[in-house]
Amino acid sequence: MRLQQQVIAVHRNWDNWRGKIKYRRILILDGEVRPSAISPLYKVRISFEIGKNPFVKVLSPNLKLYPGKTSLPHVFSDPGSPLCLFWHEFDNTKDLIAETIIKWITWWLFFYEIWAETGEWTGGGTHPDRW
Amino acid sequence: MQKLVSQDRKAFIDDMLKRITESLQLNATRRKLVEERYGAVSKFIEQSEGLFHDARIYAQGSYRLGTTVRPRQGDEFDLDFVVQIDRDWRNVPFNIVYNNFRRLMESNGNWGNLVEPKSRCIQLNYADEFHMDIIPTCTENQFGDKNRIMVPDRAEHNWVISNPEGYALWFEKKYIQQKDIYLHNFYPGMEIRAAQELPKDDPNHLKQPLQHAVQLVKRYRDIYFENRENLAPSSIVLTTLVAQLYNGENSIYDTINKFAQRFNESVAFERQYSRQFHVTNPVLPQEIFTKKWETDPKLFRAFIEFVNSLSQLWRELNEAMGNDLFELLKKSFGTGTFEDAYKKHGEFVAEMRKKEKTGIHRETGMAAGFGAAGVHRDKQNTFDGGRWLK
Repeated sequence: MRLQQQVIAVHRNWDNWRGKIKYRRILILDGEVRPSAISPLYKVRISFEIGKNPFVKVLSPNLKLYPGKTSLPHVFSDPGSPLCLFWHEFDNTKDLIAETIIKWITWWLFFYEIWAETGEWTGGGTHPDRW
Repeated sequence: MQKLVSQDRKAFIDDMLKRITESLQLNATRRKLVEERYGAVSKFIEQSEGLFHDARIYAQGSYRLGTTVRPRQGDEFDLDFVVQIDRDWRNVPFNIVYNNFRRLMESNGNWGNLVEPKSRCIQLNYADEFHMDIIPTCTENQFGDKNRIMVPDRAEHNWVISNPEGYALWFEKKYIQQKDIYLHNFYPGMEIRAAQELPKDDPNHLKQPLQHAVQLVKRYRDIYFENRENLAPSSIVLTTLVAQLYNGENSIYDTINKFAQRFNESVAFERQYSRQFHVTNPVLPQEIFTKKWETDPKLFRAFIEFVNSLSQLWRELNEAMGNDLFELLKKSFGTGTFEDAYKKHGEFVAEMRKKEKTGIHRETGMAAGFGAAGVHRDKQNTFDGGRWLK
C-alpha cells in the first residue's frame, strides 16, 4: 500500500481529515473530531510510515486524568502518550487508515470522555482492570 | 435506521437524566425483596381470622406511582401499603381497628419484633435500607367510590379520610396516553414495547417522562434544601404540582422545563387576584397540601426560589457542553449519581457498537447510528496499551 493511496482514501471518505506526505515516506493526517453531540472539538494528528504502527496524538484540548489515576487509558508508554487503538486488527503494510484508525479514534475519544469523568473504561479492550 | 443516543443533544440529556433516576431508586434486587416481603405480609393478613380476613391490600405513595427516590444519607426508603376492609367505620372505633391490626402484625413469628406503631400506620422496620408503612383502613362507602378510605389517626383521635388509589389513578391518567416518548427512538425494541400496556411495577426503562421528572425534582429538592430541611416542600406537593402542570411533553427535559415555566405563570395568575397559590389534593379537593404557605410565608418564598433555581439549572443544561455540562449534573444530583449514570450510558453505547448498530459520521467524525446518509460502517477493534509503540 503506497502512502498516496492512504491519502486518497482519507480525502474520499472523510470531510474532517486532511493528509499530506512529508519527505516521501511520512504520512501526516490532521483531523478534527467531535465524538458526541456534547463533546468539544478534538484536534488529532496521525503520523505514519509504511511498516510501522501509526503514531496517534491528541493535540488539543489537553486530555485530563480521572482523579487518582496516573495514566490515560489505552495509550502506549512512549512520550506524548500515543493512543493504542488496536491489538491485531490493523496490518501496517496493507490496511487503509481511512477504514480503521480514523474510526477507532472517534471511539477512543468517546470512551476517554467517560473514563475522565467516571474512572472506568467502558469501551472494551485488553487489560480491563488496568485502566 | 436508529440514531445513536449520544449523537443527539436532547436524547443525550434525557438519557443521562433517566439513568440518574435509575441510580436513585430501588435496584432490581431490592425491588424483588420488597415484592417478596409485601407478598408474605399480604398473604399473612389475608389468611388471618377476624377483622382483616379478605382485606384488600395494595401499594400507595411513591412506590405505587413509580417515583421513589433514595433518601440522602442515613435515611431509608419508605414504602407505603394500604390494608382496606369493608366494615362500616361509623360503627367501629378507630382505635379498635388500629390496635387489632397492631396485635395481628405483632403475632407474626417472622416480623412481629420489627413492628413499630406510628400515628397512622404500623411500621415494619427491616434491618436493610427500607421500611414498610402499612395502614389499616375501612372503606368510606359514600359516593360509591371504593377507593375513598377512612384511616385511624391516633394523633387526631379520630378517623380521617384519604384516597391514595384515587390519587394514583389521577397521576396515571396524566401520562397514560403518552406513547410518543422521545428517548424510545434511540433504544432498539422500545418502539414495540411502548405500545403495550405497562406492568404495574414497571422497571425504570419503561417509565414515562412524568415519573422520571418527579423523581428528579424530588432529588433536586433534597440537594437544594440540604441543611435547611425545615424549608423543603414535601414529596406529595412536588408530585402533585409536577403532574398537574404536565401537558404530555415527550421528554424528561421538556417536562421539567415546562413545569418551572407554568408554575411561575400560575403564581402570577393568582397574584393578579391577590390570591395565594395553593396545591390541593386532586381527588379530595378540600385537602390543601400547602396550608403552611399561608401561615408561614417564608416557606412559599423558599419554594419560589427553589423552582427558580431549577429553572436556571434547566436553562444552563440546555446550553452547556462537555465538562460544563458534567459539572452541572454533578452539582445538581450528586457526583456519585452522575458517575454511575454516565458509566451506564457508556456501557449502553458499547453494547450498541458490539451489536454492529453504529457507524461514524463522515463530516464530523461523530459516533452515530449506522444506516443514515453520510455515516460509514463501523469496524470492530480491541483497544490495547501499556507497551511501547516501537
